Amino acid sequence: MGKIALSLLLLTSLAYAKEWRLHINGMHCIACTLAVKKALMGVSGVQEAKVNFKNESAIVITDEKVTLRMMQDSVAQTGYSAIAQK
Amino acid sequence: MHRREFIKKSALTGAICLTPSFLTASSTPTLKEGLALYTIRWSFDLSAHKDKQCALWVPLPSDINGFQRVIEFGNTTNAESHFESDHNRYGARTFYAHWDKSAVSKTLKLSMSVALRDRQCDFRPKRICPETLEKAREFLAPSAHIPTDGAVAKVAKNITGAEKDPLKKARKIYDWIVANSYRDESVQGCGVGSPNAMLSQLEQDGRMGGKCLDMSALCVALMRASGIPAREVMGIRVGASRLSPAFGAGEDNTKAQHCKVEFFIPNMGWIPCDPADITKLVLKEKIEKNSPRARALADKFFGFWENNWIALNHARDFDLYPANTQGSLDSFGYPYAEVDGEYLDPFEPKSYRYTFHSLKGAE
Repeated sequence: MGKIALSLLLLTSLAYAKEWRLHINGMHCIACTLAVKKALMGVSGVQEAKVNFKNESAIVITDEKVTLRMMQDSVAQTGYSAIAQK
Repeated sequence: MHRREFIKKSALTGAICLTPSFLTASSTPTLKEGLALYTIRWSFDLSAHKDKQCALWVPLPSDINGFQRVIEFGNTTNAESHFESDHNRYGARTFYAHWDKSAVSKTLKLSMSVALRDRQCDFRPKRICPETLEKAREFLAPSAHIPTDGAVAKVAKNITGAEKDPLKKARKIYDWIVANSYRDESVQGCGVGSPNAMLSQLEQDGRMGGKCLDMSALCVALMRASGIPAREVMGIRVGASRLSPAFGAGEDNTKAQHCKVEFFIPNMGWIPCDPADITKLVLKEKIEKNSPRARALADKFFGFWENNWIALNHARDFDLYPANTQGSLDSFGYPYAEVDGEYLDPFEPKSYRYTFHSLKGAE
């Protein structure tokens, strides 16, 4: 029963998962990706974040409740800035 | 004499024969004092990253005439592919290993024997070949993390004033770094190596806190801005220092990375120095910077590297080979790893296990 509930929960979260592509400004070395990732993962509802120094970008998987503003605010607190990529 | 022992002793003799004239002057330590052989073991384990691709680039020591010679080198690994290379802008010797995501165990063990000799400059003029002069000039150029304009140029001018002699200019810059900086233990690793960040601190607080890469990078930037070719040299302490426990204490070197400096004087060649270790000495021994001991060692470290530290490379702001996913590295003193293309924090021991050990052998 528990396994079924867990599977349903996982499927539900995947069904409503949203992928964001962000441009990150202010990273001056590869170690900065760690701080940006930590900031993004700190937003409630963010499931996965991959940050790339070379492309100055992040790919973020979130649930439907997460907004761009929530991620931007969290990233800004670490001294970087994020904007949505088109 | 066993074959292994004979090979090591022969190699040590070879290292001595290759020693340039400025290292064999009467002021240098005796042979017994100045030579050391270390057996070094580095171990890496990325097995915590199940179902993920892992790639690892490890900086390795190269031979440096008169200071360091790698006698033996070997590896044991279960990586799908692995090789040694120096195919990058600075010729930084690198061991690369790659594990496919299906690999259950992802381990690498490196072993080497390195002969080290104290590097003591006697500041006597000598003939430098045109090729060396030409190559040294490359280390006048700025890079992404080593600016030579703006605040750096202004401070360099203030320090050196009307001085024309490059050696005296270098000494003024070295003394200025020692006088105005302090070791900040809260800084992670060797620091970030940003001269502008250090100078901003100085402007705000009247002094600069950081670690070896921070102070070395500032020293290099100021020297380059003053027309003196200079470079940071990343490395790792491998044994106890004869001078102070602050400069190296034991056989576990996992956290013993340390950055020093080299600068170039046209009629003397590359000269070693280490302003950052004086700030470490002051902190660890709880002594004043103007105490006789600190002043004596500051004087000694302008032109000296002890034989308990191996140099790895002088690479900054460069591209690895084979190429990584994240782009240019700012420095290469720590092993660099990526998991599914993401940077792996070298200061996170749970997900990135590595240990560095060394044993002092023949002397």
